[in-house]
Amino acid sequence: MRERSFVQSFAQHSLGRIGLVGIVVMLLFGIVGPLLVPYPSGYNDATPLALPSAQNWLGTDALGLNLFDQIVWGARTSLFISVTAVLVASGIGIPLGLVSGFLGGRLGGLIDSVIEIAMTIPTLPLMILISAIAGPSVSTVAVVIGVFSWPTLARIVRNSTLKLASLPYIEAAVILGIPRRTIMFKHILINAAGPALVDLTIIMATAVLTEAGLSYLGLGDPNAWSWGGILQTAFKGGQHFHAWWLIVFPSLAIMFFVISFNLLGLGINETLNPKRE
Amino acid sequence: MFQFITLRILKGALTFLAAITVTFLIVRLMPGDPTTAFISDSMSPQDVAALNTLLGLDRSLFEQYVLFIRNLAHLEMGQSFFFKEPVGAIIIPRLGWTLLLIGTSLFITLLIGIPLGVYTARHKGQWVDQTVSTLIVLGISIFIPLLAFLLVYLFSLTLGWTPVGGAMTPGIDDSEKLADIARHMILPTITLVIVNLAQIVLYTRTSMLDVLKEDYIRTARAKGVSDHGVTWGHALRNAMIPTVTVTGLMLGKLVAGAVLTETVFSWPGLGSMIYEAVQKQDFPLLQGAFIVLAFSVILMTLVTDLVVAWLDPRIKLQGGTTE
Amino acid sequence: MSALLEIRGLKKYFGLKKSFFQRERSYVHALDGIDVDLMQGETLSVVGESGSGKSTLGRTIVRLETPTEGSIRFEGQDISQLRGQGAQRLRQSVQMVFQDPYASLNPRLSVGHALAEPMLVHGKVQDRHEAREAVSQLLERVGLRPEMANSYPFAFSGGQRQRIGIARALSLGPKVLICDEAVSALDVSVQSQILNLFNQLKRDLGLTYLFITHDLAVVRYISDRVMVMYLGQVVELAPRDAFFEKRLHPYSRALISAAPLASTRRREPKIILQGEIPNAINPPSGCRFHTRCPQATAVCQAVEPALREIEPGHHVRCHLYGPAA
Repeated sequence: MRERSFVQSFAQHSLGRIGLVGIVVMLLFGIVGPLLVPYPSGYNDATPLALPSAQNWLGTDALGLNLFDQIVWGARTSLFISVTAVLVASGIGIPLGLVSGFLGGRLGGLIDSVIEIAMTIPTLPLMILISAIAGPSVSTVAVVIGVFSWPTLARIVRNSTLKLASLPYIEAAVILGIPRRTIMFKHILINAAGPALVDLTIIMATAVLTEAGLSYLGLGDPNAWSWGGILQTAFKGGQHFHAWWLIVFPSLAIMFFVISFNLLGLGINETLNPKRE
Repeated sequence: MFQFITLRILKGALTFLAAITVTFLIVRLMPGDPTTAFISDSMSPQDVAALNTLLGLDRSLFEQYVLFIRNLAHLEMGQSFFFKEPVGAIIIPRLGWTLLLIGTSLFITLLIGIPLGVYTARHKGQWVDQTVSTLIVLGISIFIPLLAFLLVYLFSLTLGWTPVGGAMTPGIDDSEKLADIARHMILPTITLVIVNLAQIVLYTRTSMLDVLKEDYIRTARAKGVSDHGVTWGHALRNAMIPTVTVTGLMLGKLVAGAVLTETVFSWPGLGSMIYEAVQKQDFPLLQGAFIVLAFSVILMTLVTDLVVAWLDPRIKLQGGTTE
Repeated sequence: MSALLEIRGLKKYFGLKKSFFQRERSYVHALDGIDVDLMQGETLSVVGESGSGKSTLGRTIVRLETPTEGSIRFEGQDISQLRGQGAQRLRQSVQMVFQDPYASLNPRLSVGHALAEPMLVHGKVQDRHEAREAVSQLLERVGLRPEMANSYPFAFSGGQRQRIGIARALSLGPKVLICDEAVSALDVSVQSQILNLFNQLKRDLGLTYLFITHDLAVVRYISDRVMVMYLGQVVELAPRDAFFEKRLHPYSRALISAAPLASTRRREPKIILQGEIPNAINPPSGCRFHTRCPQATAVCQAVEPALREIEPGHHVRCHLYGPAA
């Protein structure tokens, strides 16, 4: 019985491929872009609120700054936020999920209760509170999003771990004297990675949406270019009804990023649980 | 069963305690002078002194915490900077608007979402399913302000069918009030429904697909139960469990959506109040809003958990949760 | 011949979740007083229905479960409460082969990795180079090719996977192998190959086996001694030939009669036991088998029989052979 490797199966799945392409585009924009495109600042002598043209591919905003440049730099911010959020969430959620699922007992139950409580607390209002008090900054927002995303991830990892822990090959590892830490972080994790990865893509997508939302509410970092921030300036300045490009392009950028990651997640999910009958 | 309900309520209470403790700590431990969170420049010295005593701002952290809890028990949440009135009095009416919006949206979402999820599961692979699946991906990726903006632009500004914002038209006749509110509610509700519909349909479809594959469905079919009966009778009840569960989990997201939606549509609920409070740096109001929101969400989650327990006999018998 | 394992009064109870309304916790009496010695170099088969406790016995010996009561001595040392360093040393002497070849290997680890890891952990090899050598030797010993170390489990058949599992169990150089239904999930033709492999390894490496199975044909083929378990207790323990010849305990008789053995001689009509194995939470009073025993008498219901040595090396737990008879 030949089983295709995960990567091969995934590559067959069209949704996942589209998502992957989207992500690569985003990476190009966010990593390579800022190296090629000037940081939008100061008062340009370009005309403010100019329509998209050959000179300004996507038009300009109220200060005359090139929208395309803003979007490129915004991509970098979005990448930074989603990656940071994922790192924070994984750093907390994955170990807790593994420990809680594998070691079980009182500790496991305790962690699970903490997870459940953390999951019920509405996060956006709390994030608003924190941002309002701590002051807006990209790092703060990213870390906070990560801190609010770990419970779901931990729950997913815990559920996978519980299923895996009673499998013979894990028991074999115990009997062979493999240290528990190794069992959790190697033997179990490599098998539990699937659903966890799906959740990670969701975290990345949600992180950008949340940051955009926070920026829209005026809690974004004024020193960093972000797509939500562009929207916020546009809405606040009342330009949105005339300068449609200020609304459309950042929103498209947001949706592109989010859809790409969601597609990736769906692709991974389908590869793991093929529903072909 | 009784044991389960008691435990569940206890857990809800514990969650609420955790939520407000986190709020307490955030406000007081954040960088900056914590007292500025409660005392603004525009207060008179007498007000400041009174507030100090009330909140115990000059005492130790633990004492403040105790005072905080005790105050909450009396529904005392400090005084709003901006409105110069007790926070509680300001929040309650706005909570009503938010609940109206969220409640209606949730109801409509479930009304459309569940049958749609069931339908696409049964007709898996056909064009309806494909279309819906594509729309789902779009739906979970939507940025609310954009959607709201598009709706307003299209329906209010261009077509003039719906009002631009707010909940009521000022100076309207009492007899028309209900209809008026309903008209104002259309766009914000549509926004929330679209955003959450995708998730509900996705979940219902997935869990329905899982359930339909189960052996007991094959048995029912073999027994000759009609296709209709199988779907709606046997399968639905069991497929409902994850759906109700996810509704409970979605409440947090609903609230987030409400915050953004209310802001865009100037809907006078808690969500937009949070926005205003942030703009004005009105921390007592912000804190109070969060506490009330947390309470509502936790309560609703508790209700959904109990509904799930009612649907899932395994929980009742074991007296615990199923993993 | 010395005893490698000495088990005395071994009990393992699993506690059940107590509901709000019950007054006391209830327990599953998986093992209820096991006394047996495992002699060096022998293959002792443990037979019984599911629910007899035979798997629990194996799992308790390798310390997957902790005994509730009683002692297990390995080479004279009590291992029943071992932890830490002591437990690690025990792992090198007692290992387990599992039943399901499709679930006993980690699908995401290469065969070489799975075999090398225990050796590296216990310091049997110092680096990857030595490990690769050792893995090749292990694979050859179980009849596989060394190149297979680079493949993943999905590439192999059930029989091959079982060989890999055996190789893994051998990687630490154990003296005792607990085989938990190690051939039950294999096709019959493959079963005999694996059984032959077991025999050969026993000769080459001087191993001792505790062979858990429900299949009497396998028992007949591979055992030196046979131990029958029922509801957590030993009901008969005898050398293989004596067991099949005499089949003293009524339960043993029923088991043998029900098994499709090669012999066409039928000594007695097939014995079909009534009912099912009672639950281990509340075992029957007196002799646990009395509820299904075709030869049960009044005393069987009242008094629990002790395990008695009726003939040299042949133990039975039954009133039919006791002083009461």
